[in-house]
Amino acid sequence: MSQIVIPTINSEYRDIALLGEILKTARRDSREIEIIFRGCRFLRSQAIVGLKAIQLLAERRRALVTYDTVDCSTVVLRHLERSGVRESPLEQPAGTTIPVRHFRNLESAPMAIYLRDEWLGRLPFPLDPEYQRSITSAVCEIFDNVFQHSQSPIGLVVGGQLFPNMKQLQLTVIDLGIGIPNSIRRRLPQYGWFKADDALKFAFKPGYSSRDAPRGLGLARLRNFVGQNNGSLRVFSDVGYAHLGSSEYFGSFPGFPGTLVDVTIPVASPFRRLRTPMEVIL
Amino acid sequence: MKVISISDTFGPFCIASDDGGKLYGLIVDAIKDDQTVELDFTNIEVLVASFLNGALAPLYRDYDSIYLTEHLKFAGLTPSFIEVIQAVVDNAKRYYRDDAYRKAQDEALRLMSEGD
Amino acid sequence: MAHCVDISRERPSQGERFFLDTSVLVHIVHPALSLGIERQRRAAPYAQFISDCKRVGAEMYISPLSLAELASIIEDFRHKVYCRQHSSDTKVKEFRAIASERRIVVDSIQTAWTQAISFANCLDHNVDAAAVAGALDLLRRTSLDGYDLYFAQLCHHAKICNIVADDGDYSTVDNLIVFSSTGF
Repeated sequence: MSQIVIPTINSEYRDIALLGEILKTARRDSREIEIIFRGCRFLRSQAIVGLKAIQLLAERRRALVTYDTVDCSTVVLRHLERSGVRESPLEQPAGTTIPVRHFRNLESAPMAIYLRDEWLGRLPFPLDPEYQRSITSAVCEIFDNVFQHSQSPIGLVVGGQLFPNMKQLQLTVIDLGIGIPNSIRRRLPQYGWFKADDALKFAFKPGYSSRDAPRGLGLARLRNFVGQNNGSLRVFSDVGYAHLGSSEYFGSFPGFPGTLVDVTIPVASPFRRLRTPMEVIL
Repeated sequence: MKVISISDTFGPFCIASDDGGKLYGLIVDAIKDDQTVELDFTNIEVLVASFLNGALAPLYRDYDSIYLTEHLKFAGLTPSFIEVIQAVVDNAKRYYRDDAYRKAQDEALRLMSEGD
Repeated sequence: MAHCVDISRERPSQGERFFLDTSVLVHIVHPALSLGIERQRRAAPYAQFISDCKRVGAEMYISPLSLAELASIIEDFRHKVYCRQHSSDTKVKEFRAIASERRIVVDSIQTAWTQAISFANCLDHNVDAAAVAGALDLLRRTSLDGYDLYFAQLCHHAKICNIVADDGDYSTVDNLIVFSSTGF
């Protein structure tokens, strides 16, 4: 049996590193997984989505998952129930939690509906349709990448949160595949020497391709969108890390067994100009 | 890559649509041979829609967005320049690609000029 | 009556001062109004003249009311486009409540104004009881209406006798020199 201890997990760099370690433990072949919440006062959506990923791994190998929630705050329990990761005896009001969803295959329509209704639909006001289309198509790039390149055994898991006071909407996507750096090295052997941060920089270049190689990972569009709209994009993939927004940083990471993409976008009043342009889109 | 310094070619004021038309010619000469061209707006003080409609809008009549993204680059842009270029590009894209939008825009402008 | 000159045959001189009517501004700063051969032909003489003004060091002026008129023209244009696209006769107030359209209008106005003040100076414009009295007087004596009544007064107070306009109505105002391509 594997025991996985879940403490408070926020959304900082070190919290995602801890989440990475937890997921690596969950990947070990074991017929039984006990998830113990110890001193767990708060879980951000990244950890909630990670817990769903653990459930899916367990399902895949028909392992039993049990939960010890004695030392788990009611805030966390409510968050787990509202996200759908844990069953609730009562119907939960929506709140600011975005329900967690699992997509096993590339299904454009259900993904677009999820983004429109369950993610953007959390907003208390209707979003400008043009902005909504831009966000949806930029975020769908992440989904496309998972199914084209990641070789994730569970597909992808997605969830998020609305922060109404900060006027921000956040989305987390996790896959448990080979990671972006490994994907690039395998698909483009001429870049086999790339370190993880080099590979992530390469993945975000607009439309890189050679005639013989597949098209670029399409993340450039997401990077553009986030840059132009005062958003933020973090990618934790294998041992690589990228943080893009008003400034950009590429570096190393202790290790994530797959890829976690974290997008945060501002969602101000529809009459305010949202775009702070950084480059022209032709 | 061919670099066109806009200020060296037209001076610091990009206003006249005829100048925009000349820039269009320079761009097309380069990109039709699969070359990439960079438009450098360093030292430009004024950049307006009438110039850009002469320079960039007709490109959308002749080329698609993917080709233009691959072959046309910008340098020396301020945020306000990016805004006006984007406004002109967005309008040109719709005008030349969307028949219904083009008809609607032409009709709207006809009605407005009749009210002059 | 004003003195009217063909703008395509005139060149500004250093130190000369020109007021730019909104009818000219829109040709320069609005993406739709100088797109296409016909509209470029109409806009070209004004764009060239303004470019020449900048090159030789002539001064150009607008008014804060130019923003109001520009905003009205831009919204009117988008409203008309919207109605034609959707084959509807949506009223302006309903159109204004459509969030996506409102955003486009607001962005267009901001972009247009940013361009306008990049080549023209915005004069202080005091619209008070005396200005209203002057506007009513001009209304009786000329063909001007709306914002043009105040622009003509502003030119008089600022001692600017040159006005660049794509609008024949200024020809009915005394002591102005109207630079235009309309009517030539």
